[in-house]
Amino acid sequence: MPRRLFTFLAAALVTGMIALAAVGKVPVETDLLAMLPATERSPIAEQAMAQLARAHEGRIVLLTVADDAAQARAGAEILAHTLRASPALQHITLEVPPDALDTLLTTYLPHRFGLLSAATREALQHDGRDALIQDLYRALSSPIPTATPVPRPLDPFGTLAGFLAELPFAGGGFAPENGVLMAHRDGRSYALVSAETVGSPHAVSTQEAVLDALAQARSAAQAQAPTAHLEATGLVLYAAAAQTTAKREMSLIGGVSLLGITALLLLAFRSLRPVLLGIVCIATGVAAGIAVVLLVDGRLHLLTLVCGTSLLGIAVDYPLHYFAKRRLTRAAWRADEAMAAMRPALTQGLLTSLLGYTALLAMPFPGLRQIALFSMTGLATAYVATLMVLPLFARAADPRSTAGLDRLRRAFSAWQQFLQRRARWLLPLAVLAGVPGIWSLTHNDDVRLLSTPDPMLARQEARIRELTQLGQGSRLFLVNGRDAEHLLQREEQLTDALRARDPEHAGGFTAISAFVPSAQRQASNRQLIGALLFGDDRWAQHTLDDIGYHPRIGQALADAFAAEKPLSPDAWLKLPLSTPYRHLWLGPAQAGVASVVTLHGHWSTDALATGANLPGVTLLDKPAAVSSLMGQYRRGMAWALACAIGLSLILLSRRHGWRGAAATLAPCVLAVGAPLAALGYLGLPATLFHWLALMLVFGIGADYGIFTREGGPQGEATLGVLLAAITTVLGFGLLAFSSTPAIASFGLTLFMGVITAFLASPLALIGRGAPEAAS
Amino acid sequence: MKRRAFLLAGLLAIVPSIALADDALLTEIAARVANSPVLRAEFSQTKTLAAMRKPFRIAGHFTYARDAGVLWQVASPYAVTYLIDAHGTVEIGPDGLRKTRSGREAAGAAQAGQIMQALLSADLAPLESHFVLDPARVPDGWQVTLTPRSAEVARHLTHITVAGNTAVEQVNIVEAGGDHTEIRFTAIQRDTQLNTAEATLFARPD
Repeated sequence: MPRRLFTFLAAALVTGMIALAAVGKVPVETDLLAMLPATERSPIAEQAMAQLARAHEGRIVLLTVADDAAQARAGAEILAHTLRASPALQHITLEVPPDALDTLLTTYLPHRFGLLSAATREALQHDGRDALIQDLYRALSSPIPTATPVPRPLDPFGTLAGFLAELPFAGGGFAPENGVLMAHRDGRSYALVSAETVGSPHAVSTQEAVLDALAQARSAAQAQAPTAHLEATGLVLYAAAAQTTAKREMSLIGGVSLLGITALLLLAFRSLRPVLLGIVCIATGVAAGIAVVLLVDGRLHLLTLVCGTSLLGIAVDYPLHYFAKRRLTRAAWRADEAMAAMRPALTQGLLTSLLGYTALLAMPFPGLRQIALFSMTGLATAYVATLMVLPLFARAADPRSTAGLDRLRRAFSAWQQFLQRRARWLLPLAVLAGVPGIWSLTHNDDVRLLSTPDPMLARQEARIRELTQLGQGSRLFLVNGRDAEHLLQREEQLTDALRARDPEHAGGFTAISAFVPSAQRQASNRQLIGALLFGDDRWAQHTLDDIGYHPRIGQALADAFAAEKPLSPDAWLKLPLSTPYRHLWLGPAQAGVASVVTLHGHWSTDALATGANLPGVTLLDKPAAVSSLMGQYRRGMAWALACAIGLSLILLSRRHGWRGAAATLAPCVLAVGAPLAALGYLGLPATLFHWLALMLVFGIGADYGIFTREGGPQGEATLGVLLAAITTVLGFGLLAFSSTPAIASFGLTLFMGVITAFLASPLALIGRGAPEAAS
Repeated sequence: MKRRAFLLAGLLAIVPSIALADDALLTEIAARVANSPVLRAEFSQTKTLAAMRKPFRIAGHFTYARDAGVLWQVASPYAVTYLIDAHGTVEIGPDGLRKTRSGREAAGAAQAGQIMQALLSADLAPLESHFVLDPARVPDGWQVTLTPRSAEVARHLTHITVAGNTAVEQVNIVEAGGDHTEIRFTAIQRDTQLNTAEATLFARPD
C-alpha cells in the first residue's frame, strides 16, 4: 500500500510541476472568439479574415486630447518620444512626411483623365458640359480659398481634386498640421499617434510591456503637457484588461470559494486532516487537467481556467462523502470496508459525469472540448486519488460526538419524509409548474454576450473610431475575380451598389479600386471626359479661353490627355502610398485573385445584402457567423444532454432496475428543468453557457441521486450530499458574480440547479428496498 | 469645393500669443460688426490668377445672420447659392436642389464653413488656433491680417486680410503662388430678422 501511495504521490508531484511550469510560460488565452471554431468554410475567406486580423491586431491608435491645439500636439510629441524608447512597440508614427501631398500628386497627375470620383462621373453622365462648366465656375467663385494639392491650371475643372478628395484614406477628420496629424472638433484638439506591438497582443509579456510603456508615456505627457490627456485603443489593451479581470476574478472567486469550502469542512469534521486530504485530491485533479490540456492543445483558455477553478466544487464531493461516512459511523469505522462500500456510488457518479462531458468533447467548439478535456481528466484523477489516497490516511475511526451533525440530519430527514410521502402528487405538480416556463423559454446566441469589454476602453474606442473612421474589421466583403482587372471591375460593381444604397453617406468603405480604378473604368472615364472636353469642337480650349485662361493652359491639357496612360494595379501596389492598404489585396487565390473591401460607419443589413448578391462577392460577417454557430451548438448541447440522461438511465437500470434508475435520476432531471423554467418565467433568454452549466448540473444532480440511493434507505448519505451541495454552490455559484456575462450565467444556472438537486435528492430513495440491495 | 478639405482640414494651431491690446481690439471689432442680428450686402469678388489673361469676377448678394450663418448668393455670371454655417457648406442650385456630400468632404466643408463664417462676421477669435491674428486700426475703421500657423496651409496661402468698420467691407486672400482674391461688400443694410425667403434657405433639413 505505501508503495502504491508513493508512486501516486510522485506522479501527482510531477504532473503538478509540469502544470505549474507551463502556466508560468504559456499565455492564458483571453480572446473568447478564439474558443470558437473556424466559421468560414472557404479557405480564401479564412485567409481574408486572418490577414485582416493580422493587419489589425497589433495596432494601437492613440490620441492626445486638449482644449488647446499646442498642448495636444506637445502631448503627442512626448508620447511618441516615450513610446519609441520602449522595446515592446514599433512603427510609432507621429510625423507625416511633408511631401505626402506631393506624392499624391505625382502618383495620380499622369493619369488624371481616367480618374473621376463617383460624384463627378455621375454629374458628367447626367449633365455633361453643364456639370463641367459648373465645376469650372465653382473652382473660381467659391468664397473659400481653394488650396488643392493640384495646381489650378493643371486641373481647371477640378476633376482630379474631386477624385483625390474621395480617396478612402484612413484618418477621417485628421489632416497634417506642421507634420502632425491633427483634428479639431467641438472646441477640442486631437493629435494622432499610431503604434504597433512587437509581440503578439495576446501574450501576457507583450501586454505588460505595452501597459508599462503607456503608463510611462502618460506620466511624461502629464508632466510636460498637463492639460492634455491620452486616449488609446487597440486589441492589446482589451486583451490586457480581460487578463487583469480574469486574474482578479480567479483569485477573488477562487479564493472566496476555497476559504468557504475550507471553513465548512473544518466545521463539519473539526479536523484539518480531511480538509487537507480533500484539497490534495482536488489539486491533483486540477493539476492533471491543466497538464493534459497543455499537452493536447498547447495553451489554456481563460474560460477553461475559470471553469477549472470551479472544478474544485465538484471534485471535492468524492472525499466529502467518504469523510461524512467516517464521521457518522464513529467507532465502527473501517476504512477499507467503507471505501469498498462507497466505490459503486463513486464509480457511477464518475461515469455519469464523464458521459455528460463526452457529449461536450464531441462538439466542434475548441473551447468546449478544452473544458470537457480538463473536467474529464480532473474528475478521473480526483476519483483515482480518492480511491487510493483516502483509505491510507483516514484509517482510524473518528469517535467524537456528532450531535451537531445529527441535528442537521434530523432537520433534513423531516424534509426527506415529507418529500417521499407526497412525491406522488408533488412530482407531477413540480413538472406541471415548470412546463409553461420551459415552453416560453427563449434563446439568444449573440456572440457579443461572450464578452463585455471594459467600458472605459469601449468609450475611448468609440470616440477614436468616430474621429478616425477606423474600419470595423469584423464585417467585410471578399471579392473574387479571374485576374486583377476582373477583380477591380467586380469591386467597382460592389462599391457602386453600396453607394447607391447609401445616399446619405452614413457609411464608408475602403477598396483598392478606389485608389486604382479598373482599366475598364479608367478607359470609360477617359472617354467620357475626353468627348466632352476635347471633341472636334475643342470645347475645353474655347471655354477656358472664354473664362480668361491663357491659351497655353487649354493646350497643355489637351496634350496631356493625348499622351495619357492608365494607372495599373501592379504599379500602384509598388508605391509607398499603398503600404497601409496592401493587406486588402489578397493576391492569387483558388481561382484567380481576391481582395477585401472593408467597411466603416453605419451600414444597413439590407445594403450589405445587396452587395453580397453580386457575382464574385461574399459578405463575411464574423459576429453573425459565430452567433449562428453558437445557436447550432446550443441545440447540439441540448441534444447531448438529453442523450446523456437517456444513457445514464440505461447505465443505472442495470444496477437499480428501471424504476430505481428513474428515481435515482429524478433529482437530476428536476435540477436541469428548474433553471430552464426559471429563465422562461423571468423572460431571460438562455444562452449556450446556460446549457453548458446544465451539463454540469446534470452530472452533479446524477451524483446526488446516486449517492443518496447508494447511501442507504434512511438517507445516510444526506450529510455528504449536503456538504457537496454547499461546496458546489460556493465553488460554482460564486461565478454568478463574474463580470463576464457568459461566466455569470454559467454560475447562476449552477446555483439554481444544485439547490434543486439537493432539495430533490430524497426522491432518489423512492422504491429503495432493503439496505442489502445497495452493497 | 471638395478640395477645400485639403486646405482647411490642415488649419493648425500653435501657441496663441496675442497681446492683450490685440485681444481688446478683436473683441471691439466683433462687437461693432455683430451688434445687429442680420446684415445684408451686395458683394463683388475678383480673382486674379497667373494662369489667366484677365481677372475673373463674380457678383451677388450676401446675407449674414448672427444665429444662423452666411448665405452667399452668386447672381452673375451664373446663379448658385452657398449656405455656410457651423455645420458646413451646402450648395443650393438655381432649382433649389441641395447637394449633400460624403463624410470626408462634409468634414472639410464644416471647417471651411466655420472659417468663412468667422471671416465674414468678423468674429475672428475662433480662428486664433489656425492663424496668427494681427489687428490694426486704420483711418476709416480696422484691418486684421491672418497668417496661417501651419506649414501645410502656408504652402498654399500667404495671408488673408479682413477690413471694415461697422461691417466687414473687404476680404483679401493672397495665395502662395501669387494668385489672389478680393471680395468687396457694398450697400450694407442692417436688419433685426431674416425675411421668409432667407429663412427658408437657412433652414437645414437635419
